[in-house]
Formats: sequence, structure tokens, C-alpha cells
Amino acid sequence: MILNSAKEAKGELVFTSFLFALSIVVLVDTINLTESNVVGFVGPKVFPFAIGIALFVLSGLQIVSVLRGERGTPEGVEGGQQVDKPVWRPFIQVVIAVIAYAALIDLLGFLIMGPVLFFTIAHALGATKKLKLAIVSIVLAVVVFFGFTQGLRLYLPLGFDFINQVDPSVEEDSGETW
Amino acid sequence: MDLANFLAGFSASLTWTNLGFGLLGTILGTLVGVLPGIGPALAISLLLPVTLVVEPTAALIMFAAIYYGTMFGGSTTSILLNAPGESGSVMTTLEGNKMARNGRAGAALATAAIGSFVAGAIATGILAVAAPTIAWIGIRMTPADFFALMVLAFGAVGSIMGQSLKRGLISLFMGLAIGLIGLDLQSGSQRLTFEIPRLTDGIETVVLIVSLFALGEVLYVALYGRLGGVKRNEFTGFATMTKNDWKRSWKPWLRGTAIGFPTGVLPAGGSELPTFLSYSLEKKLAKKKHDEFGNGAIEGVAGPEAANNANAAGAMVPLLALGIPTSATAAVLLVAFQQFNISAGPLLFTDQPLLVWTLIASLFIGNLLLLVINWPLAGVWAQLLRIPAPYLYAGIITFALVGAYVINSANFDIWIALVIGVLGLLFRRFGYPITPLILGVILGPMAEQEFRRALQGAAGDPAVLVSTPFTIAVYILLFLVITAPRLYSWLKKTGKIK
Repeated sequence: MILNSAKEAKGELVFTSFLFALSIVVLVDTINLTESNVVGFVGPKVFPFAIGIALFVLSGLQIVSVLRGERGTPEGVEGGQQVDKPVWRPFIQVVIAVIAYAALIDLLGFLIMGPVLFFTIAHALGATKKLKLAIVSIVLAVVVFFGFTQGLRLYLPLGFDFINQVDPSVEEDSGETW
Repeated sequence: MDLANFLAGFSASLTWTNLGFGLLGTILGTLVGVLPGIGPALAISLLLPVTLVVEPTAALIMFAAIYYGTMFGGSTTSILLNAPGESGSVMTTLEGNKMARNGRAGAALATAAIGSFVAGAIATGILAVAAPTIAWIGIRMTPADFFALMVLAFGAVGSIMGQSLKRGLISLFMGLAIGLIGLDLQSGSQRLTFEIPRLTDGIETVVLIVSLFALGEVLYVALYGRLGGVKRNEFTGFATMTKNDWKRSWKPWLRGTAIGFPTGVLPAGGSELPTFLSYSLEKKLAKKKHDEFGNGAIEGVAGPEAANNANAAGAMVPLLALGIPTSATAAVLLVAFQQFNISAGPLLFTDQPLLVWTLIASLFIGNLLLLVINWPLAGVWAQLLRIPAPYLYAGIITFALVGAYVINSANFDIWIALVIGVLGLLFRRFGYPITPLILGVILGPMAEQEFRRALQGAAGDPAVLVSTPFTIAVYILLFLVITAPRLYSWLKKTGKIK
């Protein structure tokens, strides 16, 4: 129990220090800012500087509070219980699912990655009946895909662009917009 | 109230398109309210991409209906599951769930739905009268006045939300820092972009909100949650109240409205505070008559449920009249206005009278629709609670990532979403509130603009910030908001007051 709370304190200390570090990032970025063409009386540095200082002071004070033993109360979990000890397996599965989705969405399209995402996450969080889950994943993805692309006329990738040979010059052009 | 405009708005709201979107909004809102893990701010952000294709009036009607609808639907979950459907229903859970266990689920659901309707109707009425008046004042306000109001919103939300002042304020300043990312429009300087071209435009608000609320929540549940094991109270059939229930409910409804509306107008960060106040008041008042509180007292459902609806209507006042959001959901609604290049604020009533009055009229209609789809159909909505939690969370992520993608059709936004989602996870784990951060991101750039305008007008003299009586009054109010609760609890602790 003592060990657990010591570990918890360490976690919170690391997080608070991270916030403290971010305040330094804001300040350094502001100091290095080149004020190219300042118009008016308030340049682009004033606000970031104030924000950076405030974050610096507040997170500094918070580090002191944490060292003195103040602990953040974790938020409750809706539809279940909150546990103090992290459960890494489902978490890593969810993160991998999101990373895979981000990396492959343009390549394989939503009709593949949508069901994969839904299936992996629901499975990671404890859904057991795989066949039922697979069917729900596919149906949901199809409904979302056509709802967005046909109903709302918003673009979702169909993927597999590599099958249709794209003219390399066009590819280069679109690459240069950024 | 401007009667001619109001009537014009009413007739404009009665087109098939507007009614259709209103109905869609009420259904979606109730759905979102019923489902745990997804609240109004997230629901509206997920639907923000529709601003790219739907015309402004219809879209805004739908969003406002969602806001009202979640306040209705949240009670169903609180009463039937021992878990709130969204944060404004936490207080309803206490007595509502007890009532359901005693076989009085029907009465609890009925008093929640009717109370929400009564509060919504009264509060929307006050909104229709008050908003134009406040807008009239708003037109006469200086940039320094606006800046003061924004500082009030920041300070109040930062200090009320969360378990300590420092945590609330850190969350706020993190939001302000995130709001800095991108090109400073006035000077052309790049701030916090780290020479990544994609960051020049800043972080999309949709992406930000979706990742904080949806991704952050699911990552948190995956790491620190054990799903399942929640006991559900069965309810089928029709929700009814006895004569005695009516007698005990109507006063709490009105008191809840009286608490909810002003706390919505003031920047109190949403429906947590008013529902808590209403619950405490009802508990105190009921003590003289009976000691049912703790075992399922109907007043404990009627009051908070009225309060959270009145609160949603109250939040529309500063949003429409001044362009200042007082809760996370109102902040997202403001983004919806911005997507259409409509500036919410004092000029809205003169520049877009038809739009704003159609919206207000639609709130009345939506409120009525909500009563119709919630009261008789409570048993149907209850069936939604059969959806297993893992499916629900997987669905939330899927919609969240679709929402993040379609805004720019770019997977870069999904990477950003993952990073911010992890931040959301850590905020939840270490007890930092999310709302101040959201408000900081959305209101921060506006505050900077007003600040610059104010100093521009005064040739750089900072005294302009406290130059009007209004600004001084606002800063005094801010001081009181921050110090009063602390002074009170200090006095209580030292035994100076009971």
C-alpha cells in the first residue's frame, strides 16, 4: 500500500514536471520569436509571455504541493469501476489501434480500417463474442462510410489508390502545396 | 422581447428543414444524454463537420437541440443505471437511482422529463427577453469591457472547476498556450509552431475537443477502468406520477429553474454547480417535512433536473448576446458560429435577426419535442442502456477519428488527436478539469484580440483596462468569485460560522 502510493506520487510528480517543462517551452519559444512587422502597441510576444510566466509559476507551485503530499483524485469511470493500478494490455492495444488507423487510413481506406479500429478497441475493452463483434464492426463502418460520403458529402478515403497508377507529375504537384 | 422579430423567427422555424433538423437534434441529444461516456460538448464537436454542408440556421438549430436534449436524456441513465449519463446528472443519480430501486423509476423519469420541460420553457422565455437587452448593452461595451468579461470567464471557470485552484488555473493556462499555436494574424509571427508547416493554422478545435473528450476518455478507461458490473434497474412501460408526486415536484422545478438560469448566464463552467446547489437546497428544505432524502426523495430528482435544463438555456444568453461562452458546450457552439463566419455577440441581433430569432423559437419547439419524445418514450430509451460498454467506447472512438479526419481530410489530424488524447488521459488521472482548458483554447485568441484593441485605442496605456466602471465591477466580481468560497470554508473550518 505504501509502495503503491509512493509510485502514485512519482507518477504525479513526473506529470507535473512535464507541465513545468511545457511552460519553459512556451517561454523559450516566445523569447526566440522574431517580431517581423509589429503593428500597434501590443506585439505578438505579450500574451505568450504572460501565459508562459503564469504556467511556470503555477506548475512550480503545484510541484511543491505534490512533494508535500497533495494528490489528484482520479476521475470516475462511467459504466464500470476506476482502478488505481494501471492495466497496460488494453491500453496498449487501443493505442496501437489508433496508430495503425492513422498510418493506414489513406492507404487501405475507411472500409478496412474502420472495422479494424472498432473491433480492436471493443475487444481490448472486454467484448468477448468475436463473431458478433466482427459483424457489428463491419455494419457500423459501412453505415458511417456511406452516411458521411453520400449523406453529408464529406470525404472519407476509400483507399487502394496505388492500384490505379497515378501520374507521377500530379503526385509531385500535390506534394508541394505544403 | 422584440415581438415582431420573435414571430418572424417562429414562422421561419416552422419550415420542414428546420423542424427536421430540430427533431434530429432532439433525438441525437437524448441519445447522447442517455449513453454514458459521451456528453453534449463531444456530441456537438463530432457533428461540427456538418457545418461544411448544412446551412447555418438548420445546423445551429440542431446543435442547440442537442444541448437541450442531453440535459433531458442524462436523467434516464442516472435513474436506471447508478451512473450519470453526463456530468449535469450526477446529482440526479443520488435520489433517482434509489427511487428506481424502490420500484418508483416511473415517477423519477416523469418528474425529470416534466421538470426539464418546465425549466426549459421558463428559461428560454427569459432568454428571449434578456438576450436582446444584453446585446443592446453589448454594443455599447468597449474592448476593455469585453476583455474584462473574458478574464472573468477564465477566472471563474478555472477556480470553480476541479479540486484545487491551482489545478483549474493550470488547465486554463494550458488551454491558452494551445490556443497560441499557429500564425499570429496581426503580426504574421509564428508562435509555438516549431517550424511544422501543418501547425501554422493552429490546432483544429474539432480535433482538440474530440481528442480531449473522446480519445482521452477511452484511453483512460482502457488504462484505469474495469468495465461491467453495473447494476441496471429494469423499466418498461409508461412513466407516471401520482398526485402527491406532482405536489412535491412543482416547487423544486421552479426553484431549480431559479438556480439554474443565473448560473448558466454567469461563467460557472456548466451544469455541475447548479445541480449541486439545487440538490443541497431541496435536501435542506425537505428535512422539515420528511427524512426521505438518501432513500429516494422525488425532490432530489425534480430540482437538479430542472436546474440543468435552465442552466443550458442560461448559457445561451451570454453566448448569443455577447459571444462569450460560459461552459465547454457553449464554447463548442461558439465554434459552430465561427465555422459559418457568423460572429456570435452583440451584433448578431442586428446583423442576423432572422437567424437568431429562428434559433430562439426553435428552442421552444425543441423543448416541447423533447418532452414528447422523453416522457412517453422513456421505456424505449431505457433499452439503449443494454448496449455493452466496450461497444459504446469503440463507437465513440470511431466517430471521433472520423470527425478528426473529415475536417481537413488529413491523417495529420489523427496524429495530433492521439497526442492530445494522451494529455486528456493524464488530466483525468491526476484530477485536472478539462473544461478550463477548452475555454482557454477557444476564448484565448479572442481575449488577445480584445486586449490589443483596447490598448490600441488608448495608445498603449494599460490603464485603459480598468477605465470604465463596468471593468472595475467585473474585476471585483471575479475577486469575490475566487475568494468567497475559500473564505467561507476557512471560516467554517476555524469554527467562526456554523
